[in-house]
Amino acid sequence: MTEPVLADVASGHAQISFREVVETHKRSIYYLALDLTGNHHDAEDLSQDVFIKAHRGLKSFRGEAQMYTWLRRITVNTYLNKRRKKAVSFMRFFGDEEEPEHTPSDELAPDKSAESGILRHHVERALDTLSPREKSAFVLRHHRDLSVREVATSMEVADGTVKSLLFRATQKLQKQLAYLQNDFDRS
Amino acid sequence: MKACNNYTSLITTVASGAAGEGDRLRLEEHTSNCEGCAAEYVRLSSLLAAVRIEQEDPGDAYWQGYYKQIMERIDGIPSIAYSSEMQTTGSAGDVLRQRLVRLADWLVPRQRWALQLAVAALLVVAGVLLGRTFLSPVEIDPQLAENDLSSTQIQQNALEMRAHAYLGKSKTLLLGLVNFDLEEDDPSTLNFEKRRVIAGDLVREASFLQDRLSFAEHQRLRRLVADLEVILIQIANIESAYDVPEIEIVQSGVARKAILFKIDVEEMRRDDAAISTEFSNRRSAPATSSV
Repeated sequence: MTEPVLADVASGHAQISFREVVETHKRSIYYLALDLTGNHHDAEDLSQDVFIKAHRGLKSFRGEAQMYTWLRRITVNTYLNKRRKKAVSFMRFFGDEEEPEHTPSDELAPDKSAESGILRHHVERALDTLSPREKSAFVLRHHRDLSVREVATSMEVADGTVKSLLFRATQKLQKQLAYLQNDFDRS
Repeated sequence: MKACNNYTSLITTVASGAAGEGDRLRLEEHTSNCEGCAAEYVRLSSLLAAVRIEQEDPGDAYWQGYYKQIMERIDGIPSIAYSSEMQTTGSAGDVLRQRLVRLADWLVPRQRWALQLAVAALLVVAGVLLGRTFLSPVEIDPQLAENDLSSTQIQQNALEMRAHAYLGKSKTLLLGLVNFDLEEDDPSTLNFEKRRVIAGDLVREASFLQDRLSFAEHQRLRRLVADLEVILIQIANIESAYDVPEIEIVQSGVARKAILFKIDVEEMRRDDAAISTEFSNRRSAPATSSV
């Protein structure tokens, strides 16, 4: 994929360049946001925030990394910051429990059979039990097929931290979904 | 058929995508001879594959309006596609919301900068305190020199004081690691290089103390010094602050052996002994005559 040429924001080409950035990467950033948040509304909000931040940061982007890598990092950081802020504001009102994720919306899957819809619901709920960092690492590794090093770059942590997060995420999911193991074996 | 107990962790590591080449080969070699582990690996892999949910495309209409929505937000014009938490009613509410969003965007990087400055200041203070603690010589209580004690007793007291200084320094070192949140905290705040050096010094001190804590009443203290030595060796051998599994091992070792609790008990015993000694000294001191 050819990276769009970045131009000075002050020039009239900036918006065209930014437009190219959005048009090229909107789907991949939206789907990453959807993997992280679990529902369309939050994914839309998150992905728009990412591009707004990218618009602000475009003039300082020197092309040290590929554009998608940079956007992916912004997506993960923005997601983690939002979850952190939500947890703090939830604690102020309700105490120490972390705010539960939004209930996954089924509005995009009206044509799914009842059984697979139930399975999907359980899987989404299981993913919601992961911490934001565990979920980020898991989604990037297993849904976006990134290497451990690429996940570490996106999350701005060390490889060892990613491995630790992946291990814990897998253990938690295994525990959460153990009762559905037969269904997975059949599908 | 169940998986082997000592291979369940390896199976999880490999299936989760966290394993290196060595681990993968080790598991492959084992599963070629173990049906239970092979079956468990397949089950876990299929579970992780099934967790991969196919995402629905929101449709062409959505994508066609996507760039416009973003530009409207950038230009400050309300977009009807906001999620419910961002929506307000009325134009005044929209302007206020946008201003609050801009204020939050302005504040967040500065908050981060202020937080980093606060953490740096805290590290400097911690470094000064650690330096004072570790560089300060162990002082012999002058009161001991004045009392009519045998040289053996003086030696014993000095050794105990040195052992308690060792416990105090170890406790300071461990507290930072034990309270470290593996998921949330940044490993670079641990000042790990300094901790490794301190751990190495304390390991040498432990060796000195274990050779000399030979009195019968030192048995418990000697065991605690030995338990601490194991933990300190682990800390001294951690190569990187990002070696999260190794930090986890240290934390679980401290918890399993209740190291910090035992140090606190020793400190309380020392304090009780000091109070008893003080009380005995006052009782045996000649009474002052009143005028």
